[in-house]
Amino acid sequence: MLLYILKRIFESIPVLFAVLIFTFVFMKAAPGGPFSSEKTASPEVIKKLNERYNLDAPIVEQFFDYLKKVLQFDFGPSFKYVDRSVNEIIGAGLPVSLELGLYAIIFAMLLGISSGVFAAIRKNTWLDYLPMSFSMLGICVPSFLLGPALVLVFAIYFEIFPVSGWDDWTHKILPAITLGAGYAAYLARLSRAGMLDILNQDYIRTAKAKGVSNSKVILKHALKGGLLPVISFLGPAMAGLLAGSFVTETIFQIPGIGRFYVQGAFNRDYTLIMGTTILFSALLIFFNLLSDILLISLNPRLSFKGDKQ
Amino acid sequence: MSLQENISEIAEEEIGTSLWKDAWIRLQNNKMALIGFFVLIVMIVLAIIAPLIAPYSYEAQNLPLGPTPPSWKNWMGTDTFGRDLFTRVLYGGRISLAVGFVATAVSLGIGIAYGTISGFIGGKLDSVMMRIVDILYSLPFILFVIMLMVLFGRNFYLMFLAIGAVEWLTMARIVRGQVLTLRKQEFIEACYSLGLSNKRIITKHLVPNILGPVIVYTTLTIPSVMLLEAFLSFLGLGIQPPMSSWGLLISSGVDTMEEFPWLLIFPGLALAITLFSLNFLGDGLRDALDPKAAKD
Amino acid sequence: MNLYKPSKLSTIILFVFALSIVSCSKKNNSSKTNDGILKIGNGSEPSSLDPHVATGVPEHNILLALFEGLITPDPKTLKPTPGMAQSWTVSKNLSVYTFKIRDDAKWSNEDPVTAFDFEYSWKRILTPALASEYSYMLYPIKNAEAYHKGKITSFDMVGAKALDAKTFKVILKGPTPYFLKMLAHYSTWPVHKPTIEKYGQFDDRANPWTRVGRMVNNGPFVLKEWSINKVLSVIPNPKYWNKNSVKLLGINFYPIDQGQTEERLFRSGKLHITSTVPNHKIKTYQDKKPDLIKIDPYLGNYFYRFNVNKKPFNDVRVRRALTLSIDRKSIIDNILKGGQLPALSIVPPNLSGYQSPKSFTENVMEAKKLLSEAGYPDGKNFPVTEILYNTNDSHKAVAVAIQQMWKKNLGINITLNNQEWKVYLDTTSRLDYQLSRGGWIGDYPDPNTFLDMWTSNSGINNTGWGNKKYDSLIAKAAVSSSASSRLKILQQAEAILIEELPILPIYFYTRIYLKAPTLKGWEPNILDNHPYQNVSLRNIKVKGSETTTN
Repeated sequence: MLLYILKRIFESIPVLFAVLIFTFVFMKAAPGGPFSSEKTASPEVIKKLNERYNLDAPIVEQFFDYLKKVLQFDFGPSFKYVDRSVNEIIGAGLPVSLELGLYAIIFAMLLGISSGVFAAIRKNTWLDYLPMSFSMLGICVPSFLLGPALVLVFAIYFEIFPVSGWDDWTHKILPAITLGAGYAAYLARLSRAGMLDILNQDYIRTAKAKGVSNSKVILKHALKGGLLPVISFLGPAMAGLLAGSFVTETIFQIPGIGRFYVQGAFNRDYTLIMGTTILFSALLIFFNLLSDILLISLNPRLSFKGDKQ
Repeated sequence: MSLQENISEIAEEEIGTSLWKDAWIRLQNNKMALIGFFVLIVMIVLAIIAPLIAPYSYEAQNLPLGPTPPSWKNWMGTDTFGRDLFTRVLYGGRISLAVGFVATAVSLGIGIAYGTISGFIGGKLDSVMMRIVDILYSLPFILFVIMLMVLFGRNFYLMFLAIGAVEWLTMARIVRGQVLTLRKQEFIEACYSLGLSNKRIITKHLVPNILGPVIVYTTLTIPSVMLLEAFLSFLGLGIQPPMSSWGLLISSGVDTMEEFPWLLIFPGLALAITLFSLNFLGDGLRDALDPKAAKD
Repeated sequence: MNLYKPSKLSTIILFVFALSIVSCSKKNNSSKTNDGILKIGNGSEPSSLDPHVATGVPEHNILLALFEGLITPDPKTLKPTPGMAQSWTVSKNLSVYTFKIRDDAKWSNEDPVTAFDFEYSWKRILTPALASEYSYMLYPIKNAEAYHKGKITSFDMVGAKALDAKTFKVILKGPTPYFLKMLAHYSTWPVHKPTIEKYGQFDDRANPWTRVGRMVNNGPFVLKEWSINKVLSVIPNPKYWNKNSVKLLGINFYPIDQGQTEERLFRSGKLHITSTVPNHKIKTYQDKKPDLIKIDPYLGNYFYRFNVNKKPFNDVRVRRALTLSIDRKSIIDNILKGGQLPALSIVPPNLSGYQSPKSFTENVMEAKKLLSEAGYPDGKNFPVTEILYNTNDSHKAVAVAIQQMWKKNLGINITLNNQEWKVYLDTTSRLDYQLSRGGWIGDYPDPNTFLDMWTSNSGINNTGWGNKKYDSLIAKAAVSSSASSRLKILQQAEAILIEELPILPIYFYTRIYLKAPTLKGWEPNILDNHPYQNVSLRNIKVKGSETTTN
């Protein structure tokens, strides 16, 4: 397995490099620079600003300059937050988003997987239709609707939770639910489908026919296989949570990296965009690796040695 | 024809026809799925004939009137510009349904093809193809959208491209995962020993069997596509006022949900009903296509 | 690897959890908000706290607490009152100002504030390498523009000199009657040299001297906490010369960029002032809680730019026709609902002493006639026209309404194009548009700030319009020595704009916000400039009303 991990890490280097190039090109090609603003009148000022940030050097040179710094883990100064470095901003925002993402995923897994599994076991009964309908609601109700609705009910009318912010644990419940609800819905459906697939397999019928008890069947055999599609979904979902958390972070005014990520795009804050993109890619690679490892460990027919025919 | 080829042809035909025929029969017996199917047809028809049945123009404003709750004159009430909401929901449906189906179809097509080839051939090609997916997945979507908007101008059809370009990635991953699992299963090995060609194996045996999770995921994709469209239109890529879509109607309804709740409820209901129908239909299809599904 | 989650158990746990939350629920409403700290909804995260680098209103609100310039504007009238300068004299030709720095003016580390600080600071903001975006504010000073553009390299030639520690002499290019008012802008405020040079170069924008624990400033408050996207807190500065005027125990600035969230925070008692009020909530507050919502006149105008290089907008008849066929009052009453004023001229009306010349009047018949004369009777053959605006609900709503008005009144077809902020700015400055939404908030209370932007070499004109007579009038006004004749010249200039209409004025801004009744000393003025001295919070509980204020 160790060899496999090393191989994957090695393979991911060109990926990161390609991501860097792509993003760099996109950013430079997008119109509007970091210094477009209604009050910026004189071309002299713009010229000086471009000089200061080396924006008038040839593109290739700019890219390699930047690459050098990145290899030393220095993502440079933010363009918009003039005296802060991107490292600082990421350092402040990332732990917050990770925490929010963690709570959301836990909520999603608890709610989603359990209702999905139950629904599969009790297929075509009310225990199936009800959770599946709720899960459909979870997909139809976007976070920019769920969030304000939750705030209206639980923070304004019932005054149980605070309206926004990120201080003590009371601040974390509504955002976690808002962010996690959509994922809970996906997980419910995926785990139901996966479970159903497995439950219909021959080896399950065999086990049942042999007299193995229902719950044992589920625990030992069905669950592992049934959750395979869930795991291959969770990988990218975890990393997607970070950028997708933007809406939730905006509604609840949470100082996370999702908000900075999108603000950076709107502000054409070159360095911040690059920094968060690299971060996002690295996390994605990490979670995919994790999920692939899980996938292979759980599936008796796959192995780490590679899957050639 | 040699005996070998004879046998494989007969074997294939049997597998082929009975799978789909079975599915159709099973689908017809699933009440919820049929209801879903019919409701969906109703929604689609309403959307198509919207210009014929809409009581008002979707853009005619009545500023002094402003937002009013449902009444005999305006079945769903009026919005902040005094426009009839029923009309706008009808027209919004045209946009949302079009985007939902077309963009999903695009991403389905690409995703299935890509994922199947990647998972089936495996090895180095699989690695490379999946790395490409990783790279594309890590691109900052918003920047990508802004780029598209800039390079090709504001274009409604561009929105399909943007959405399809993002959604196929997850589909490819799921399909590949399924294919990887299935490839090792006995019935596929049986196909090999029968001497069937790769192409035949993929199209006649692999694809029908991965359809289960794929269909379920599709019924998940259409709603997320519709909501993604709302976000894109908000950014400036896609439909422009005075046109609207269910997604946009909902997102502006959220802002005023305390004062004018009907602006949120009706488009919300329209979207929910459509998505519920898709769901039940999708479930029914999934159940119908599973050759080993136990009868209730 | 056991992935089984005991779902029954978890449901029970969640249930118990929920019960415990409900039981200790009321904790949030406790009077932690009654702590003498002013809580302001500040709109967005400040990009910088360096007065020579910052741009923007949220930054201004914070800088107002941390720094003080030569003068401080009176909260009601905006009249310049002594700040760091305890007195000043003006020469007869109005071009030379001599400021006397007060003796008890101190930095937060007890260093005295001197005239040398001001000379250093004005040199800094005019240093080309710093690339300050507000350096143009100091251009009325002799040779300031030349120094900033690198045409001269010795600051000695610039008309800002410290004669001694307490005397600061400023020589202007010509009589500039609004000069003192301009000193209310943070670009003219002083910074502490040793601090800046301790943490980096004096002309480096990224110099991190403004952090908590590093910043040294001269205003009524000092920086206590700065958590990005969360809160920025300041507490009273014990070294401030006028510390007795400071009645607050602190100020918290919350960078909340969502109007809905801000309104909810205000409702739950967590904010005393908001930066805005969502349009549809204005009426609700006016009907149900009129004492909480404030609508004050604000010095700003909202307009559409015409690209006069593109047909048919090069024809003034077309521009006039479009301008005359909008019902501004309907837009204001039905969409904006914020008591804005219809703009039938360029300069907003709240400037005392200045009167706009005769404005145009809305007239659909006249508009139709003009359009027909220009060659487009009933809108026939009129090219499909696009209105460009930056993504914002209010701009969209106004554009949608205007789109319909023109369709109905003139028979022309309009499309709408919203772009996000940076793209929109870029598109507008490249003149790649037909109509583009614009707005301008005055930098200082004088009509010139609304007029000199339309000269032919102004970097913010962006319409392609230029008029030699207009340019010369503006230049003449800049060196006019008589206040009254100067205003007359500006009037003539504005008359040209009203005649030529390179822009389509729509409305004049108002400042709409929610204000807690416990807040005292917060006076409305047209620049929305609120020095924090003499602002206080009172602890009252209003009986019998829904609002329990803290």
